[in-house]
Amino acid sequence: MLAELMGIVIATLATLVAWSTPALAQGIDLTGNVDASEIELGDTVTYTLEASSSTEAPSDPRLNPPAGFTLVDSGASPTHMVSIINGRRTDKHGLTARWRLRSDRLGTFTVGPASVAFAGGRRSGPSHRVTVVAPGTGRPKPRRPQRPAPFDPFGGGSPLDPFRGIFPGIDDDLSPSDPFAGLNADPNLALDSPRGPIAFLHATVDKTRAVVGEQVTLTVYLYEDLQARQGRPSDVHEATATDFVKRSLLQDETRAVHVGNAIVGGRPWAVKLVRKNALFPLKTGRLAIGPMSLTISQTRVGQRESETLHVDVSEPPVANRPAGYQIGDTGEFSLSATTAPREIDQHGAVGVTVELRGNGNMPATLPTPEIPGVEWLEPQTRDGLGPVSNDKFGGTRTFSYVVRLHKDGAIDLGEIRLPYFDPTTRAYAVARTSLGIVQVQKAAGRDAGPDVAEPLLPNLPRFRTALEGSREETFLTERPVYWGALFGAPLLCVSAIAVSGAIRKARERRASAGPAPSQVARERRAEAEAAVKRDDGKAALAAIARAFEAEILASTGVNIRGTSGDGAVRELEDAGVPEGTARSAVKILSECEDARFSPSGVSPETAQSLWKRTKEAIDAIGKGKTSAPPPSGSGSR
Amino acid sequence: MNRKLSLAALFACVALAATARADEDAPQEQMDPSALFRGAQEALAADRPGEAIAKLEALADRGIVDAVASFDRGLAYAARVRAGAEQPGDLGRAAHGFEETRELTRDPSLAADATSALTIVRSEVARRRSQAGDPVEIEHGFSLGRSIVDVLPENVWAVVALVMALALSAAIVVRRRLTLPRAKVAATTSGAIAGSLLLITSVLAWAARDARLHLREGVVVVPNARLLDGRHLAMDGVAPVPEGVRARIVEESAGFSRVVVGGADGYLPSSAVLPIAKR
Repeated sequence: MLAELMGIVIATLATLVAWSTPALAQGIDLTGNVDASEIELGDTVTYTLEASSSTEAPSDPRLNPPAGFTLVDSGASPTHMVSIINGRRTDKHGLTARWRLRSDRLGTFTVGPASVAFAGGRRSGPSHRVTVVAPGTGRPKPRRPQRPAPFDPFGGGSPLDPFRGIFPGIDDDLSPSDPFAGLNADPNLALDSPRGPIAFLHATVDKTRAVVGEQVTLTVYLYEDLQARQGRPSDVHEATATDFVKRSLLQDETRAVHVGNAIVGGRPWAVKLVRKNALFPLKTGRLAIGPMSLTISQTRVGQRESETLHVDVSEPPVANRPAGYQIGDTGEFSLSATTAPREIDQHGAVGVTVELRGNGNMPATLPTPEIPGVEWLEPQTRDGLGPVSNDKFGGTRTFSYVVRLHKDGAIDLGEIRLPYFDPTTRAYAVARTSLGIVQVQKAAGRDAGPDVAEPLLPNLPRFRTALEGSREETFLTERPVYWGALFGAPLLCVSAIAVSGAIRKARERRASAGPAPSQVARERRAEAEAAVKRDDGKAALAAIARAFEAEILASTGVNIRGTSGDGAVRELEDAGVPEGTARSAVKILSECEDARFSPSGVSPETAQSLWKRTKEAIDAIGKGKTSAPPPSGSGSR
Repeated sequence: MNRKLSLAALFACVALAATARADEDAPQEQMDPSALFRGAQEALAADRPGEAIAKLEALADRGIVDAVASFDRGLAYAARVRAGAEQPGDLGRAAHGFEETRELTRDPSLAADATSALTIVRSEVARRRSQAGDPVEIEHGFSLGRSIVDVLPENVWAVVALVMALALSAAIVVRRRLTLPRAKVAATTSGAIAGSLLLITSVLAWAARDARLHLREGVVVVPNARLLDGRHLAMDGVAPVPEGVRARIVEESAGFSRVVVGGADGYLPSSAVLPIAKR
């Protein structure tokens, strides 16, 4: 067994000697590598050169960035190790240099070789090929655990660091698991697109509708680009929620807890839980939760702010609401109580301790039973509240009362009941606890008892015992007909009077106005026709004269009655009657006039003859009137 | 042995049934407004104002608007004050109950009792303000116009206006029909008077209707509330609003109510002003 062990040791030593021989021959050992052979455009690649020598310290590391890359930052850390084995001292000098290069172009590039100064010259390490691909098409690059920043004032693990754990690379002690080692993205944390480059805050609530007092859980995550170097946050401002009671669900808010990785916009991001709060709405309405913000002291980052969120808050349902329920008492509660001692003297006091247990919006006070002779003093309250299971806020709240009993006998303290709304079952429930009976011994001497205060609100009336009941009340002013009658009645009277007056005037006008000339002409013509059929020649001639005058008036608008012969002819001519016709008409009328006043009388035949001529003249006037231009008017109308 | 077990099981069943029966009683009272009101009566009679308040408030939550319920609620709050278990705002809520009673009731005796109780409550508020050195004016009263409108009920104004309209119509007709000069003069005079009264009473009827439909009033239920300006900062030079005072609610938004109290116009938190129910 011992021989086998010795054999293994000798073989190992021999291997080590054989491996170290070339390095010793050269005096320096140089190795170089890159952290990724394929990166996306805009990402960075880190070239690391490690030089070690046992004779002289390598120094002055250099790397010329290839075209298409920009040097972002670089650093070098020399090491010196001394070992003394069996009294023999051995020195080992080392130098580790890193260059972080950002890709600016697509393509395949050669990075390196980097070189160091050694033994009066420069020694070069290996070079590596790096391919730059389009964003979103590359593979996540493996990343080695980073070391603490050498100049971190908090030392990377100081308990005084207020932002410990928020960013990778600075406090890796809090996130020992490498997020790149087999990236396992949580779909629940995925987002469509990042809210900012390199790092951003994202806030969510577990519900957007709640009742007053119902817990709404606000969660704020910090997303960090796994492929970018993270800066240090400062100037942290908490999310404002003035319309809520805010309680933390995290034991330590100074730590950010890595909760997983997520793919956001096609890229991997580390997700850390920054805040988790239970918010209890104080009132109804659309309540706002302000953003949380912090500033990251890094180029292209600056201030980061989470979303402003809104929660629609309503009152719990009125249906089945128990008496004594106070808006805001929402959660799941139970009560227990102890009363001690159970036997006291009159006007003495007992202690009642009521423990309210559960989760939700714990009420600050409890309704105490009202029993005559029992005086409840202000309680002392003690809280044991915090996060409980399933991200609920709860615990216990203990109320310690001193209760003075002023009556003797067995006093039942009754029960304390707390109606509450359970948001889980969406129903009301009542937590209750019985306080038990206390035996009170009658005091031998008269105690001062409670102070007799000046009577308040004396002479109040006695309460009523029967509801008045509702009666549907109607209002006249709600009926349009009322307003119509109100103003319509006087207006109607005025309108009726006005209309009746107008009608009366119209009738009077109609009554005073003569018949139309054509109608008169027709009537006169009929009279003439009738007259010529009778034996009275004079009467017939008078009727003929009137009929002719009426026809002339109707046809020409010229009233020739009382007009002399020439004047009548002129007027008829002016009215468009041909001269011959006009003279004929005037002659007929003259003959009628002459015959009527003839002492010898007029025979019916003469009258009939004259009537025949008259009708011809009427026709002629009518024809001439229709063929002639319209009369220009006459003053004798 | 079996018999004993059977008896024990029977006893357990009876006990469970009794428990279940007792549990059923509570929801019955929670659901039934009459039972709630009866419970409140019993609590008031037994000098348990807190329980009475809880039940009467539950009654109001169920949409029961009744003058007697409001009156008893006011008495319950007053009783809690009197019992020495006063909570902030109890006097204001008592005043609110009585104001609501006056607004709702048709019973003159109940209205008189509510007025009397309101006076007692406001006297107590005035006494406390006096002790604190604050102005003691509690009831600012209404404007002249509002006072005139409130002289008669809306329907009475409406009927009077209608009568005036008929009188005016009759005067117009009579003046037209009659020929006697004296009759014409009498008709003209009557018509002028009726027309003027028609105008006035119709405006009052309309104002009463407008007040019924649009005027919102409340009672301040917070002791010494400070009126706030548009930025919701306390107004300078304005005395704190007394508890129990009646205020006109102009508008409500974002948790604040714009109110007019005794000629002062400002904002109060909505929770500080309890609206008065109307018929």
